[in-house]
Amino acid sequence: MMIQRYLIAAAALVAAAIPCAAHHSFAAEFDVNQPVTLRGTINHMEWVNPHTWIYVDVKNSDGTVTTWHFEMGPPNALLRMGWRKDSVMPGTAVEITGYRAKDGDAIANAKTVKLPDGRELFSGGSAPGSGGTVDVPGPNGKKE
Amino acid sequence: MRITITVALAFAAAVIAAQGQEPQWTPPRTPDGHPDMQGAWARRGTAINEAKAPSSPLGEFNTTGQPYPTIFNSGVVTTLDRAALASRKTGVVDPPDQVLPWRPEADAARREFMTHMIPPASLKYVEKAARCILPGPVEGDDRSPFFILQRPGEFVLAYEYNHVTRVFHTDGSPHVGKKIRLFMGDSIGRWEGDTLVVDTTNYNDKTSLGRTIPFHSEDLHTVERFSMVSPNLIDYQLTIEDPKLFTRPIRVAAYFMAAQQGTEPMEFACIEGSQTLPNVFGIPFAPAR
Repeated sequence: MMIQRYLIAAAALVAAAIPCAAHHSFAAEFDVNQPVTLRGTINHMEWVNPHTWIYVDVKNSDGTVTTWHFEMGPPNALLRMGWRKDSVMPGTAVEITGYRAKDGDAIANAKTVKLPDGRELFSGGSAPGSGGTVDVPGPNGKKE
Repeated sequence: MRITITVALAFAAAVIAAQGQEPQWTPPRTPDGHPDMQGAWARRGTAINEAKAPSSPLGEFNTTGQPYPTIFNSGVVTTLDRAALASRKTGVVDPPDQVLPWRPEADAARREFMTHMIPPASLKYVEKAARCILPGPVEGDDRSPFFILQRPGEFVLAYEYNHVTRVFHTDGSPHVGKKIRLFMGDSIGRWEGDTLVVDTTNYNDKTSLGRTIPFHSEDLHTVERFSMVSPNLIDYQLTIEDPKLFTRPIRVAAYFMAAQQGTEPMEFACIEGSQTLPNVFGIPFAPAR
């Protein structure tokens, strides 16, 4: 399946520091000082408001497997970024980056999901760098 | 019809330009003669980015320079839009230095409150947005679009976020009685030329104004001004007055940009499967199903 990637608009249409109304704070649950990068296989995804969750089976050094829970953006945000329910199927090997939960459990806020072919999907979530691009340039707006 | 108007506008622009004047853009109109702002929009810049705010991890990532992801804009496609966006300020513009005119006792109260928020001492100290409480005049999730519908007597601003629907009555109705208190307030609108001016009162005191303003009073009063300045841009000015918080009103400058054609509202029911409270209180993760 093709996953659309929106290209960053060449003209910087939006200044980087525009304040925006955001959903709840990242920092209440997650720790920016505990970045994680994990390799594992997709267990499943939960497409649910207000946050989609992606479950990744990660093999530990002792051979046991832990199922990590990664928080992503809202289903609507992911859909509009090109994610679909079959974008990552159970069993797909991924490399997933994010920030761990403050209570140190196997829970994190996802930033990027890298697929076996090297493509990187943004999580649409609240961590810095997780939103992918900003403005979609293009022919769909009202034209002059 | 659209092609004819486009040709006419281009001709008019050329004539005016030839006379050495800027072409004036006028918006399309609804049957009752007001600017037609209907459609799907992305809200940008609506946040109270105060200077000298209490340092708090809640505010992390608001000012890192990361653009907050909104991925459904149509993008700027006309020179008029580009001109309208150029040098546009967003966030707090009055006061210009963004140092808010706090009443000392209110400033002290919110600073004290914020010291109990991470980790939250109890449910009362959890961010309102994390509890899926309605967003009030400032908050929301701008990863979701807004939809404007207009008909004589009503201008409706529907947020995809959390099913919020605000109806601005433009039929001359007065505000509802003072004892009625609403999360999103009661809004009446009037047209000043092509600018819609929306006066909102009757707020309850249960919402938040942002990461550094966790509460406000029932005396909150807002005035919003919507002006369509170019084909894909609505200028949005939000004046916030709360005499129990501030010694004078403050103003936020923001805008709405047109969303991609075909953008439709999808359900964003915050309460559906939120894991925020379990995570915040260290309760074991409860799967949605």
